[in-house]
Amino acid sequence: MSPRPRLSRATRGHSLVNLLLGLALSGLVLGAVLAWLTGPWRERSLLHMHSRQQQDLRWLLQRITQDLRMAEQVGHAWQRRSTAQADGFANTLRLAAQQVQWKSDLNADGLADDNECAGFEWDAQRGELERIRGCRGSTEPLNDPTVLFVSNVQWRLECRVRGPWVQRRIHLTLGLRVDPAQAEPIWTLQRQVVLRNDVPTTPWPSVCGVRS
Amino acid sequence: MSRTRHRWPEPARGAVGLAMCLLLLSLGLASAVLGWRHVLNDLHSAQALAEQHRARLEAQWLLAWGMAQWPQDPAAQQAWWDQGQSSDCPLGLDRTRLWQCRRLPAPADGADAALGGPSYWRAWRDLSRAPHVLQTEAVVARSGGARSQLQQQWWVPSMGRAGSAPPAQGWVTGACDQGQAGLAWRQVMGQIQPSQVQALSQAQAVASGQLLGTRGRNVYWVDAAQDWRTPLGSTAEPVLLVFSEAACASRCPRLLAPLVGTVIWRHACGQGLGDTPLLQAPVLGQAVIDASQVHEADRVWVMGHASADQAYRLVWPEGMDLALPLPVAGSWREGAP
Repeated sequence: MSPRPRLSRATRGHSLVNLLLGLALSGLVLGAVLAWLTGPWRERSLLHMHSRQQQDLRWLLQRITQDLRMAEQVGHAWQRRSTAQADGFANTLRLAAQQVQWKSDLNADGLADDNECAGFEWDAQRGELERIRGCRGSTEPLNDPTVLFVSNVQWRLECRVRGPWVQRRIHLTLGLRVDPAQAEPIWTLQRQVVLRNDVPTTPWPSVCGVRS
Repeated sequence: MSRTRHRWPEPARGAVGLAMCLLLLSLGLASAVLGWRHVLNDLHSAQALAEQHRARLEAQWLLAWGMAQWPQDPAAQQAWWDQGQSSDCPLGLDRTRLWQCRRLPAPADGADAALGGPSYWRAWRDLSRAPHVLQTEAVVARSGGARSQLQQQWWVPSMGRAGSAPPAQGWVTGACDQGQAGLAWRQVMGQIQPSQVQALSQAQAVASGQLLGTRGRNVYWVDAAQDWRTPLGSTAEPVLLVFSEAACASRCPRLLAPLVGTVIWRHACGQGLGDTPLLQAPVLGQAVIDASQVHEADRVWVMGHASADQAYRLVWPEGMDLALPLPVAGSWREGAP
C-alpha cells in the first residue's frame, strides 16, 4: 500500500470547514439580498397592477363614451329623425340603477331590428361591467374583476332643450377597488358624455322626467 | 537559488463565490428582463390606447375642418364641387341617382403632423333626392395603426321650403290682371328662389355628364327658346321643368312631349305666351303660368297628380333656420356603417 501523497498547501483545496463557512456566509448574503429585493419587487408588482388598472379603466371609459355618444343614431337620419314623427330609435334610452340601454341603427337601414339594442349593465356582486349586445339579453364582459373590480356605477342624465331638439348628457361615475381583493379603498372617477344624437322635444323623452 | 512556482490551475477556492455571483447575476438579469418586459407591454398598450384616443379627437377636428372648407356662398358651390371626381364618392351609392362628391386629404400642417397621408374628409350629396343634405365623413389613420371614422349629415342651404300642394285640377295661374306679377311662382315654389332651381339644374347636368341627359335628373332649367320634345318623368320620379325668362323672351317654348311632374313658364306676366297653345302633349302633375287665363286648348292636356311636387319639395325639419348649415339630429356615427 503506497503512502498517501502529500500535497502542497496551494494544491490541497478547501477543508470542509472552509466550505461550510463559505456556504453559510453565502446563504446569509443571498438571504439579505433577497430580503432587500422583495420590498421593491412587491412595490413593482403593485405599481404594475395599478398601471394595468389605469389602462383598463381608460379603455373602459373610452368604450362606454364611444357607445354612448352615438346612442339612438338612425340611418337616413335626415328622412327618419324629424320633429313631426318618431323614428324607431329616438327615445329608446333607458336608465336604471345598474343598467343603461338604448337602440342604435347598426346596419344604417333606418329600421329598428332585434339585434340593435345596446347598452351597459353592471353586476355589483361580481364587480363586472357588461356590454349589452342585441335585444335578447346577451352580454359580453368588459372588465376582468380580478384586475379591475367595478364596485360602483352611477349614471345621471341631464336634458337640455335646443330649439325643437333635446340634447342629453350623461354624468357617469365609476367606483373601482384599488385592490381587487379588498373592499376598500375605492377610486372614484367621473366623466360627462354628450350624446351626439338629439331627439325631438315632442314627444318629450320620458327618460328626461317631467319637462320643466 | 531560484524558487520554482507551481503552474497548476488556481484551486476551486473561489467556486462558491463564483456560483454566488452567477446566481445573483442571473437573478438580477431575470428580474430586469421580467420587469422590462412588463414595462414594455404597459408602454405599448398605453401608447395604443393614447393613439386611439388621439385618432378619435383628430377625426372630430377633421369633421369640423371639412365643414369649414365647404363654401356657404351658393355662387361658389358649383366650382367647389366641380373639383371632385367620381372616385371621391363612397362605394355603394345608388347609381340611379346623381351624386356630387368631394374628398379632401387631411392637412398635414393641421392639428398634428401625424395627420395627412391616408386621413381624409369627404362630403357627398344626393342631387336627385336630397340636395339640401350634405353627408360628411372624416377618416383618420394614424401612423401607429390607430384608426377612427366619424360620419355626420348636415342640413345645408340649397332650396327653400316649397309652397302649396299641387292642385287637383293641375293648372296654377297667377293674378296679372290684379298687378301681382310672380304670384303663380310664389304659390307653387314658396321660398324656393329661381337661382336655386337654376343652380340645382346645372349641378345635375354636370353630374349626369351631359347637358340634357335624363338619367337621374329631375330638375331642368331651360334658357333656350326651342320647343321641348323630350319626354320627362314618371309617377315614381316626377320632374320639374322651368322655362326661364330668357326662354320666354319672345315666345315661350311649347311642350311637345309628355311630362310627369311640374312645368313652369317664367314669363313677364303674360308676355311671351302669344295666342298659340303651350301644350301639345299631356302633363300629369301641374302646369304653372303667371297669367290670369289659360288658353282653352291647353286645359285638356293637364291632369292633376298629388306627387307632382316631389322633385322640388324637400324634407325640412319644422322651425329650422335654413340660412346656415346645421347638423342632422340622429346622424352622428362612429365606425363604418
